[in-house]
Amino acid sequence: MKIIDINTCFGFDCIDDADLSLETLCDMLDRNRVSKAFTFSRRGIYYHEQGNRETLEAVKKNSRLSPVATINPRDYFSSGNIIENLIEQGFYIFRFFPDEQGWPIDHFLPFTNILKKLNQYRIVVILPAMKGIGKITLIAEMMKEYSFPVILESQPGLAEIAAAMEINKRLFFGIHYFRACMKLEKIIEVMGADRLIFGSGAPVFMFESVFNIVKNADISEPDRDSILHGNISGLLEGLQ
Amino acid sequence: MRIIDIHQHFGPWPFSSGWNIERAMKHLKRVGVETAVGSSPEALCYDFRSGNRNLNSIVEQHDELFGYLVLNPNYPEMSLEELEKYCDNPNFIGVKIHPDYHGKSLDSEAYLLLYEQIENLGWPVLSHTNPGDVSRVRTVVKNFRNLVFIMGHMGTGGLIQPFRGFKEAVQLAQNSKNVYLEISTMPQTRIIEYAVKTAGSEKILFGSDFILDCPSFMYPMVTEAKITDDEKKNILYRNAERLFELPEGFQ
Repeated sequence: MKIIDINTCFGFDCIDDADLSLETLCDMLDRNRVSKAFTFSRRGIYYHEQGNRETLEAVKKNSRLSPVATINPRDYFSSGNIIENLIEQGFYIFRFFPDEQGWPIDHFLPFTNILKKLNQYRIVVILPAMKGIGKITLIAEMMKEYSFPVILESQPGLAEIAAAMEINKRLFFGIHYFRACMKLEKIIEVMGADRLIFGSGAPVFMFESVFNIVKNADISEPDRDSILHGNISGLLEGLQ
Repeated sequence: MRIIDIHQHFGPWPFSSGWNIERAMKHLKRVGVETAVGSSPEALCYDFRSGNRNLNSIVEQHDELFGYLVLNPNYPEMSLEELEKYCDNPNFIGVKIHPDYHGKSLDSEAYLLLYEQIENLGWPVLSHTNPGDVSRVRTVVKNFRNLVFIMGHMGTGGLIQPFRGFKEAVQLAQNSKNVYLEISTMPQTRIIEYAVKTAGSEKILFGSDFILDCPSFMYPMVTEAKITDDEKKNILYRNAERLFELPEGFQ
């Protein structure tokens, strides 16, 4: 079974003594025969320059890994050339962390400036699960202005996800938080499987556990394949 | 390995649209859950009496399922009546409380009144527990030394903050003979390994929070943990058989 994992990371956890090392991540990926994993250094959540450097180093060491860039909008000046440099270095997926970095997603000019700049390139944006009902609605509406696809690693309020998918066709959903039983089945029944993307959250979360959600879902094999690799492959075609 | 899942929910949540008993049973079979103990979401979020009644109808149609009676501390008299009504009903084998949904701290006076009766009945109590609840649980078990108190989500509050509070809960389970830990939403095997090493595998029970979460998400946390097969069996089913007085291999 081919697996592409869009949601992995490595680094340090300042709250808990979890082992989030690159070695642990790679062990998990090896054990589960993951073909490709997109990853970022957690340092980059706070210090994007050093973090992105660590990400590139990790990717060089392990051919199965592909890089995800992080930018902290609180340390972004549009006069600089951060984005151009990252694109040049081979990044084509950009991930943001409004909760950890402490900025409001709907009302923060540096972020708007980043999005405008990114809109000039063929890239993909990943936004994380943010707390609060209505966040998916907000992002779906906000991102309609931009031509790049957005993958949302969001907690699944099914009604909100379905409505967001209807108004924004470039919105995709990571399945990590579709842990509630039968929610994957339900969303596929309502919206199809074409915009669901596999991401484990490893090594913060155990790979096998999140994989089991897809493996054990009562869905067709073509839908399972789409989630595990087909959809993301299609999305990234021509970007690499 | 056999699985008895002691933290499930049978019935629809107001914020979920995936519930369907046939599909749920099919799913539990597919992921290998042999027996499950669950409560009614309706009883937690709305009317506990009608929720308990509806749960009873679900459980009595499925030999693999047992129920928790939900008690609401805002209605102490009605709660005691519910206990009286269902105490001899074999479909129910424990009590579920949810201090968040019912807006009362788990060591509040209204709860203490209920614990007294539950302790007399001998049923285990499964409570949703958050970081910060450890001192409250300590107060409860000091007052009710024969009450089996199971800390849902190992004191972490579940999905929202899965890494906070588990160490304090594990230490309490280590030091209190009647405190147990239920593992749903724990995201890493090392948490289980720590709990086994500190509190002992006899103090840990397998739970998934189904249908909010999946037993197959939690299963590898136990099976892949660096603990012995005997310890895995304790967590996955033996402790549940003992605490809920299920006959060994009753299926």
